[in-house]
Amino acid sequence: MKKSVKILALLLALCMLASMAACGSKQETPAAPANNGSSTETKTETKTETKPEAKPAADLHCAVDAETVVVCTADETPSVTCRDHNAVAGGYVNHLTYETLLALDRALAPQPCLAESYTYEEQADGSVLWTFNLRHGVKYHNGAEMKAEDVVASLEEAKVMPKVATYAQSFNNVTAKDDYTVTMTTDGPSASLLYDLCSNGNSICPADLIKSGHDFNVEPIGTGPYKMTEWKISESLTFVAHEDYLRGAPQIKTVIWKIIPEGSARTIALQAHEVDYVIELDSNDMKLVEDDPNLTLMNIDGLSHNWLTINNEVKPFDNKLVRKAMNAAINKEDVVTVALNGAGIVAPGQTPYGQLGFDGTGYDHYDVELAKKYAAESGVDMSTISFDIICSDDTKRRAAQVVQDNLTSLFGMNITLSSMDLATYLSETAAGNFEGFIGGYTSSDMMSFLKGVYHSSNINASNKTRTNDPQLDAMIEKALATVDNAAREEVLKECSRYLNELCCQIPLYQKATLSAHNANLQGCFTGASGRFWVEEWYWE
Amino acid sequence: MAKKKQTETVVMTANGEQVIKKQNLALETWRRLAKNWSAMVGLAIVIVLVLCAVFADVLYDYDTQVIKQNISNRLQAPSGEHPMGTDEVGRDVLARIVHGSRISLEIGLAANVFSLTVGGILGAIAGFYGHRVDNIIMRIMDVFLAIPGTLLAICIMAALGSSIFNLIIALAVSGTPGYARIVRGAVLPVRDMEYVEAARAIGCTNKRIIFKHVIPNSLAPVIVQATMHTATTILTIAGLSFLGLGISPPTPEWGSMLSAGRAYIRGYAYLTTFPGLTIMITILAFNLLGDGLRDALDPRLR
Amino acid sequence: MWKYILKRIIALIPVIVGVTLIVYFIMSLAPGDPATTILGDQATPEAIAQLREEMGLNDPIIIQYARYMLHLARGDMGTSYKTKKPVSIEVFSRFPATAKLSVMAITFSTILAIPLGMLAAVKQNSFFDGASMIFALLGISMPIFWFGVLEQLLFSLKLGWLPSSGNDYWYSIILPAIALGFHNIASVARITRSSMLEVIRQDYIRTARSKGVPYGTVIRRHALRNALIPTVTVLGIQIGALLAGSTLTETVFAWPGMGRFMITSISGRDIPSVLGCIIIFTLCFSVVNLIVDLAYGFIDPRIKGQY
Repeated sequence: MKKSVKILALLLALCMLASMAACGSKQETPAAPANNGSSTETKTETKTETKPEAKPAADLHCAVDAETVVVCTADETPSVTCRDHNAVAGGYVNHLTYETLLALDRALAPQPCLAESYTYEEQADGSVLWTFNLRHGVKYHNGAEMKAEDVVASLEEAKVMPKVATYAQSFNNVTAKDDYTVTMTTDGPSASLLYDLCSNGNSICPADLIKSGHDFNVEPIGTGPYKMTEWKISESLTFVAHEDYLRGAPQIKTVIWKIIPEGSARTIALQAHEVDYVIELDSNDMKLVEDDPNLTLMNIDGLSHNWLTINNEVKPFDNKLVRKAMNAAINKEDVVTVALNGAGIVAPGQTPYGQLGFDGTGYDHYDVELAKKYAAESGVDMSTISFDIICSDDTKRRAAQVVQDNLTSLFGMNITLSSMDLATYLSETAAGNFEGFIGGYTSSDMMSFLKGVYHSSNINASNKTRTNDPQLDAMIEKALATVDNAAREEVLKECSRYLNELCCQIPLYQKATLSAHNANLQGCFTGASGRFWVEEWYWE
Repeated sequence: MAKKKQTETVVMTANGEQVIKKQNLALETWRRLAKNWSAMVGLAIVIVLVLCAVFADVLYDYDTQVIKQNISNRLQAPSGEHPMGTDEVGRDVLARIVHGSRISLEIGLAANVFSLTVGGILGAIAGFYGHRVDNIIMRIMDVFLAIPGTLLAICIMAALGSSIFNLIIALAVSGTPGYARIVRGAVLPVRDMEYVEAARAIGCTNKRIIFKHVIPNSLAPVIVQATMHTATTILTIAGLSFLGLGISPPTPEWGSMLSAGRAYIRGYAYLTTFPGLTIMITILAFNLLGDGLRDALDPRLR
Repeated sequence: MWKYILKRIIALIPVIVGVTLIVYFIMSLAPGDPATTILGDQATPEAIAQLREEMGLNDPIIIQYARYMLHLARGDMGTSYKTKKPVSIEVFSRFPATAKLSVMAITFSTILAIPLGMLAAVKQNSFFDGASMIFALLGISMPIFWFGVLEQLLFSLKLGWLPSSGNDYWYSIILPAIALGFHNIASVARITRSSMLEVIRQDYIRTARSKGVPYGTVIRRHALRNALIPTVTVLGIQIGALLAGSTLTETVFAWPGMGRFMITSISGRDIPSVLGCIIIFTLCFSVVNLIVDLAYGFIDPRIKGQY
């Protein structure tokens, strides 16, 4: 049974169009950031052909020269391979050296990247066969051309690497039909496949190197815009432009990636022009950067959704009205002010605002009277409740103090805070040995958010409220199997509304992504997921 | 000179005279201490701190002034109403420092007393007996010394969970080998001194010599180490807070206040300045006092 | 004396076994699972199980420890859980930076502290005595993370003399070495002062003085030598503390050393990496202590007789 050819054609055409937008060909204006990715740099970038040398390096105040950018970041990547880590810091580095079949565009929709186009077809046994047509003439850093067998080897490797295997579950039977065609199957229609293929774990590397046991952690070879030339452990990484890059060699020829763990030290280094770009700006230094005419601040609404997580298996938190009373009793504005110094927004619902399928309907905002009403209805004497909130860093500790104060003064609840290091916190919360903690989840698509945070199969792992609701599970599975965007959005919205009503945990804030750079560095754009495209930067 | 001779005769007499000698020692020490102005300044500050700790509740109410938040009043610069400003959730910094003296002094002193007792005894035994005993004790101490104090404290805190009591244990255990080494280093030269040989010659037991002669005579470096270590302990707590293993908020503790204020160092320096100054003055006071005590206790000066 | 050194080196073996044993068990028994920590907040149960299996965490701790020790005996420190690189590479690529920083810091603090302590003792109870001790105390009572930022603001941002962080130039070490060294001035200066005071009052000094030897000569020839014993002890302890305690300095100044690595390894429960660092620290510490013990001999001949 074939799917309608019309839809296919439309999809294809869309893909072609979007691929240009996604991978940012030079004449393109950036895809207008949707409601999710609002950038302070909204002006359209007009890239002229002027040589970067037009302005002398001294006037640019750049750290090294007009062909080099010094980027600084808080954490060192555990690995420069694409499949041996699942760290955010590693993702940034992977974006320089590797590419995937599909890539998320600025509005976080999957678009063709190394694959030129794709089609899908439902099979007689109910599974779906996907066919990906690869781009021709894509060169690796070592000069070899990317072929279909590389895709097969890469995706097969992803399935067995525990740190990325999560994103390699949706596809099976990856086969090379010819040098430029790859097929794979999914168990029934799958919306997550397209998102999974955008994940760093599914980056494409040369098959012969994978088979010969090449150490990608020493020499990462991919098709990305930069190749790594040096890694000084816990100090810096150096990348040079990949001249044969698919979309043309980047203008910035050298990228020095410095690791500076302290927030204040990063700001000082930027102000002293020792670095040109700070990926994670400390929220306390926002004002300093804003006031400095030589620097540009980028304050992007982020997708990192943070809550006071409460263990729904522990009494009296199994009572929905108790949870709702607590939710309405906390002044979230204060939490944002204190915990984030204002660099973020009050979470307006149980699901991340800004993602496809967000719906705030039925979500209770801060309202003391409402909180009292819920408390009265719940039949629980709130003043008898006592529990412990685990916090694992300064931001969380600040947030927890506001929560503690609000709940104590309104209901007379007895709340203690305990500090734990990251390892203890992760293990204890995953195992359910807690009553409450300040936690969060960051995901670039709503489906993986819902599956990770609320699906019962993730109890004892990322489902920390330990929510076990068959109706919710069914809705999440339905969304995962809905390939059509509009239809899926409806399912996800229904899910959001259901969760707003269920109130499994207490949303507090969505952290903003704060970056800053030398004002003369142009072409910088940061998406809501925190992704940025170094290959588009240039000095002016 | 005459007086000195007299004291020494008392030391050398038999058991019956011992009590008299102790009284004399304490009185004598105090008399000497009182003459030393800097030691008295130190003592005065320590007394003020102790009084602060004891009467904290009279000065500031814990529930309404120390832990009660007032977000609209956050990050206020020092003023008449809040002499040291307010912190990130609008609490009065002075009130927190006053109440913090309780927690910080309690932890600092408790951990040090433990380390000093255990480490001091081990070090004295090692230094006094020498050879095999020294070797065994010091190798065990080396094992503990080789595990950096912070790591040991982190491991213990991680294994036991963070609470004030566990923090004391963690700091105490990690401080012990340091004392052992210092005491051993001080005992090594002392045990060859003439008066120890003399004591041995008149048939004193080893235990008696250690407790009556060697330990009192190695007090000076130990007191200096103890006063310095109290400071280090308070700063280690700040370090542990920095790693997320310190005292949980909203309990006011100087080290945690310092560490929490660190994020605001550029815009609101007073958040670190005042807890920092408090720690500094405390350390200074303990040191001045310790120094005075060292002079007063030194038997050679009597 | 060579026999003594050899004996001390052999004695190191049980120390290392003891250290690894204690740390291995504390780290393994502490709450916090390495696999869960690596996979983070978003881990799935299957991924955790798969990674635990891969890392060999399902075996009893005693078997894991025995396996580790067997490898260690062959000179293999294992592979880091987090980065999958050999621990020897992880550790030795960071060790030079830490060693350099510690040596620079101890040099800086010794050069300032010993004269400061001596002069304070000689001019006891004078204004200079008070002022120098307060100066020394400033270092220990100012938290490194605060002092470090002040340094960066003044020397890097305002004056533009020195780089604020990293290890790109030979002069990058100046700011972190001052920050770390300043912290140690107090300990060294005060112990020098107090032992100097003690020595000055000894009879033999009085004798030398009464025989008409000039004051300066007495101090240099007789007093200093004897006063240095406790100072050397403190220096030994300080080097150990510096090696490990440079964590905060390394963090503030983005210095690529072992202290930072060890703390991240501890919080990530990366047991092989933690043990690797600990073994290196133990070796350094023991060697320094051996040197300190030998130095006693040179300073005080009575002790030398025992070797």
